[in-house]
Amino acid sequence: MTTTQAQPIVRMFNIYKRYEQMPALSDISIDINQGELVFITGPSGAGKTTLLKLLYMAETATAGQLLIGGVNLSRIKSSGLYQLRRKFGIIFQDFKLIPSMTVFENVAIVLEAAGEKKKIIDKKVSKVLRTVGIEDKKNLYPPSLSGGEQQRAAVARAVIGEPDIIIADEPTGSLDPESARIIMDLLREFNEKGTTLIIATHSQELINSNRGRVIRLKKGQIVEALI
Amino acid sequence: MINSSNFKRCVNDIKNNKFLHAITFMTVLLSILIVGTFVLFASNAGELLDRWKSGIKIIVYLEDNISSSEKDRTRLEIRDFEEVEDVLYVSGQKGLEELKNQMTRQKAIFENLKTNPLPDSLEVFLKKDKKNIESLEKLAGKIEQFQSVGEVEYGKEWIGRFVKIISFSRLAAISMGAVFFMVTVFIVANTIRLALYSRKEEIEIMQLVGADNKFIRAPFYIQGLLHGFSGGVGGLLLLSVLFFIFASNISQDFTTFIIKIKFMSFKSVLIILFCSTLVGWLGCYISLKQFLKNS
Repeated sequence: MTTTQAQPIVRMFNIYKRYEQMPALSDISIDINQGELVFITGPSGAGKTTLLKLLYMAETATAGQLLIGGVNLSRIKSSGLYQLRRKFGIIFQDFKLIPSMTVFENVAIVLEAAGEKKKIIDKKVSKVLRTVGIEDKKNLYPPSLSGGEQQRAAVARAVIGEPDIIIADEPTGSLDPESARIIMDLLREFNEKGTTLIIATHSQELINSNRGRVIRLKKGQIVEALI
Repeated sequence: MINSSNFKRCVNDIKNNKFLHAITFMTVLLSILIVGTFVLFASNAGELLDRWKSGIKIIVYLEDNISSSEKDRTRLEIRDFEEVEDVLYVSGQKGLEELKNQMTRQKAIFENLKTNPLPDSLEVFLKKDKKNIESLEKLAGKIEQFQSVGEVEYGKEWIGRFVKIISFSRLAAISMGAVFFMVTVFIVANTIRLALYSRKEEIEIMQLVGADNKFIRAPFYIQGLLHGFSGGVGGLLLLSVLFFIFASNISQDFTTFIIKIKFMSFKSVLIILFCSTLVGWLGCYISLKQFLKNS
């Protein structure tokens, strides 16, 4: 974890989220600084994934204010969300790789969407696939990969755009201990270079083996915030 | 918009949904075939009308028992009417010779004639701006009042019918074009909508990794334009094949003495191709606007 104390890159003020009448999050207020490693933990149904979805703007808060990099999300149009999303690298619990695209294409799409040149895309994607150790799988389609390989492809896609914030939802949940260690080492490496890392996990082992802030949720509320 | 990545995504989608795309292509093709047929009919009929208009004339048959000076006076008086460009005197003998030249296959009929049945006549040519059915009727009515005139002929009934047929075929071409335009837009829009729903998750992932709507839309627009253009080309090719088969059979027997039927002009081909491509684009635009608004 880096110790730089700049302006918070993420600010949540009294966030509430309800699905119909069911409260998913209640009165959540958090500041996350640039370069921080933050674990969001809690039992199943505590609201970890909902909190992450609010961050990467797949959901909107029922009440409260959420600021990313100083931008209030309630004040930007949906057509302009993509610019903020480019600040994020997201690792989904179920990987969310596009099955009809090769590993290379799945990773490259982030740069293509940003309008990067083909030559640069080829170079960057090859490099990141080499870093996550699946360069030899670049022409394969996700369904033909193992869970660990798919997770590495998801990590590669999350980091290729050099995001300010990496959000990972249970990044090691479905992996064997060795694959989990490799993925975590990779993520920590990016965090040490200054990327903010927000990880939702229910693995106490993962939390214990890494130094970071822990925010514990229960029934949609913060019950513990440890540094 | 059309870069290799977008084009590849478009081709992949066509490969994955071959049947759906084949139906859309066929719909555009058939629509163009039907509309093109009406355009062909209307353009050929229009040309026939123009050609008839350019040679429009009234034939005035004179009474048998009038003197040469009376014939000449009638000719000059008719020439003074505001609708008239020129009046030509045709003697009965000359008229018969002309008829013989026109009806070479029925020569035997003329050989058996003992006397010339054709009276002397005047051919009345109208001014360019007066070559229409109203002026023709008005002028014919005035000429019929002459004592020296036996009969006035200008094909009143068939002219009226012909003008009506041409007007109807033009109206039909426009109406059919409008109907098929809407039907095809609807079908292309539906195809794109189905393609969008089959790739809903993929689109959501793209949005989450920072793709803007322009990037997401691009391959679908390429698909729409391809449907429209390829369907248009296919429809016109099929129409041209059918036309040349039809034209090669019918021309020699029927049309050569009236008009040589022609395929539509290059300009019409370009307009039809533009419209079919526009149909593809419009169908795509409607679906994408609705889908991305709801996603």
